[in-house]
Amino acid sequence: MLGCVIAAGITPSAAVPPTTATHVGAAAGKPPVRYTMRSTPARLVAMGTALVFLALTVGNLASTAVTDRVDTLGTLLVRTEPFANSAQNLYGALSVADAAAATAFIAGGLEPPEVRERYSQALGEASSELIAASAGVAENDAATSAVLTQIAAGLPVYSGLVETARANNRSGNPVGAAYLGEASTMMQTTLLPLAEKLYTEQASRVSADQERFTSPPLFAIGSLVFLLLMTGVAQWYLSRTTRRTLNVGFLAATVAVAGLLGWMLVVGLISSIATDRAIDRGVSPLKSYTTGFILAQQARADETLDLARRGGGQDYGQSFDANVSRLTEMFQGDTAVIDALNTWSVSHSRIDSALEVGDFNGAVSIATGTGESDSAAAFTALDSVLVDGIENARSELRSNIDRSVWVLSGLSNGAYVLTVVASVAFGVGLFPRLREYL
Amino acid sequence: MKRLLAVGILVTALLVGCAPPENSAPQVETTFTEPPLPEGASVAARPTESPADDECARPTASLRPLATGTDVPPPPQPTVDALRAKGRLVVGLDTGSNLFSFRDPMTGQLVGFDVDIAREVSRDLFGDPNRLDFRILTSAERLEALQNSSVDMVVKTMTITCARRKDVQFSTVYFQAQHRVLVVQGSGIRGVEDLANKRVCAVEGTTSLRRLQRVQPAATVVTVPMWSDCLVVLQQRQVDAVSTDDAILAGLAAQDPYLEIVGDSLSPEPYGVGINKNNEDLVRFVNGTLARIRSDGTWNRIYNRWLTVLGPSPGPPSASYSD
Repeated sequence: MLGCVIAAGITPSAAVPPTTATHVGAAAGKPPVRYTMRSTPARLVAMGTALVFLALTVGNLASTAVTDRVDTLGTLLVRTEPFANSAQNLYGALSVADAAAATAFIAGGLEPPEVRERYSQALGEASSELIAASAGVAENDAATSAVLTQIAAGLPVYSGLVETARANNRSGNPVGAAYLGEASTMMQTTLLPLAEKLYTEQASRVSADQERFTSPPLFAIGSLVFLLLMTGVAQWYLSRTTRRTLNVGFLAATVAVAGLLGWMLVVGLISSIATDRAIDRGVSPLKSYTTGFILAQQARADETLDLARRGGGQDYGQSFDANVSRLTEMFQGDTAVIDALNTWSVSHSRIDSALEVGDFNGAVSIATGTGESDSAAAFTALDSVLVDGIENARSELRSNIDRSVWVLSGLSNGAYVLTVVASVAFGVGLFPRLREYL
Repeated sequence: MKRLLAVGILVTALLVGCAPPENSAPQVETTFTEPPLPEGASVAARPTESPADDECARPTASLRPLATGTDVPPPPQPTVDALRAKGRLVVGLDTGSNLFSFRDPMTGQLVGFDVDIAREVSRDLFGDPNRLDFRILTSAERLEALQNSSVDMVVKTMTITCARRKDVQFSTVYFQAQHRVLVVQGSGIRGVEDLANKRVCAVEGTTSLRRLQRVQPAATVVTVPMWSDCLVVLQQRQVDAVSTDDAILAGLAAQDPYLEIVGDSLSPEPYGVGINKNNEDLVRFVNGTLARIRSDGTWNRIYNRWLTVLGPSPGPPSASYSD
C-alpha cells in the first residue's frame, strides 16, 4: 500500500527530466541519449530513485528482522513454552498417579482414601495437561501429535487396569496385585518414556528458539548504517553539484535514518540481553530442575515398586541409588535440594533395614506413611523444592522473554514509518533542485 | 421455454464444473488399544535340544529324619545350629500362586499352603511359627537362590525332578499335584490334545513349561514371571489356556467363575521343599517336620484350610527315604 503511494509520488519528478533533456540535447546538437544520461538532473533523479529504493528496502529488511523476532518469541510465550511446561506437568502427574496406584494396596486391605484421592487427582491433571499440550502442537507437526495420541490412547487402558486391580482387591482376589503390576509396567515402560520424550523435545525447541536471538539483529543494523552512509554521500554530492551546503529534505532523511538506527541499537541490545538472561536464569536452571524432578520421580517409583513387586527381576534398589547419586551430583551447592535429598536417603535406608529383618509391613509404612521422618514426606519435601525451582526459573524465563518482545514490538512498524519518512524527505529535498532545470 | 431450460442446464453444468474440488476431511487413524502384557512376558522359544529325559531311580526318595528319643548322641547339625543362632529362617516363595503362596488382599500378609508348611518348620526350629523371612522368587530364580544360599529353603510348588536333584536337595513329598489345563468355559478345549495351534500360558523355569512343550509341541507357549500373570493374560484373552498343576490352576479358577480345569493329568507333580545341596542336616530336619505333620493331623488341617476346592483331603503323600 505504502509502496504504491510512494511510486505514484515519485513518478512526476522522474517524468520531468526527459522533456528537459530532449530540449537541451536538441539545442546542443549532441546525441540526445548520452547527453541525457550524463546531465545533472538525470543524475539527481537516478540518485533520488536509488536512495528511495534503498531506504524502503532497508526499512523492509529491518522490519522483517524485528517481526521475525517478535513472532518467534511471541509464539514461544504463548505456545512453545507452555507446551514444554505442560509436557513436564504431564510427566509429573503420570508419575504421581503410578506411585499412588502402586502403593494403594501393598499394605493390605482397602486403599487409604488419601492415596486414592492422590491417584484420581493426578490422573485428572494428566488428562487436562494432555489437552493443554495438544493446544501447543504446531501445524503439520505429525510426530508430536503422534506421541500425544499414543499417551492419550494409553491413559484409559492404564486406568482400566488399575480399576481391574481395585475390583479384584475388593473381591479378595490376589490377582489384583498382578493387574497393578501390569498397569505399572505399562506406565513405566510406555507412557512415562513417551512423556519424557515429549518434554525433552519441547524443551530443546524452547532453547533453540531463544538461542537464535541472543545477539542483536546485526544484519538489519548493518544495512541501516549503510543507508546512513549513502545518505551522507548523496548529501555531499548534492552540495557539490548545487553549491548549497545544506538540504533540508536530506537533513530530515538523515535524522529519520539515524533515529531508526539508534532505536534499533538500543532495542536490539535490550532485547538480546533479556533473551540472554532468559536463557541464563530461565532455560538452564529450568532444564536442570526439571531433569532433577524427573530423576526424583523415577527414584520414588523405584522405591515404591520395589515394595509392590518385591523380588521381581529388576533391581530397584540399585536404580534408586543411581538416580539419587545423579541428583546429588547435579545439585551440588544447592543446599535446599541436597538437604531434602539427604533426609530422603535416611528414610530410604530405614526401609532397607526394615526389609533386611523381614519386616515388610514396617517397610511399607515407612515408604507410604505420612509421618515427618517417613519416606513419603521426605520425597514430598524434595519434590516441592524442585517444583519451586522450576516455577522460579519459568517465571524468570517468561518475564525476560516478555520484556524482549515488549521493547521490540514498536520497532517493527517504526522501521517502516521512519524509512518512508526518509524517502519522502529525499523527494522533498530533490524536487526544488530539479525544478531549477525546468 | 425450451431455450430457457437449455440455458438453465448450461448454467448449472458450468457451475458444477467450476465448483472447487471437495476438500477431504482430515482423518484420525487410531487402531484400538490392546491391553499390555505383564512385565517380563514373552513367547517361549521352541526347545532346540530334546529335553533331557530326567530319569533316575526313585527321584522322590529323601534323607531319613533323625530318630528322636534314642540314647544315641545326635550327629552334628551345623546348618540347623546356625539357623537357631540366627533366629530367622529365610524362605523363598512367590506372591502369585494363589492357595499356595500369595498376599492376602485383606491383610497384606503372605499366606497359603506353602506358607503354612514353612511355618511348621519354623515351629520345630524355634518353637515359634512366625520366625520367617520371606524372599520373593520367581520360579526361574529358585535353583540359583538355593545354590548361592540367599535363601535357606524354597517352599514354592516346586516339583521334585532328577534334573533339579543334581543341583539341590529335596525334602520328602509334601504334596502330590497333577498337571492339567485351565480354560475359559465354552472354549471347546477339552484337554492338552486340543491345544495345538493355541496360545498357552506357563511360567518360565517350571516343569510345566518343559512338559507342555514336549507333549504338545504345536502349541505357542507364552511365558510370564508368575502364575497370577497367567490369569491376567487369560482374562485379557491374550492366551487360550493355562497349563500347570491342578493345585495352582484351582487357585486361579477360584478367582474367576468363568474358568474350568479340563483334561486328564499329563503327569503327577510331587512337590518337595528345596534345600541347598550341602545342608543335609536341614533336609533331615525338614523331613522330621513333614513326618510330624503327616502323623499328627496338621497336614490335613492345612489342606482343609486352603485346598478344599480340590475335593476332600486325599491324605498326606507318604514319604520315601533313600537311606
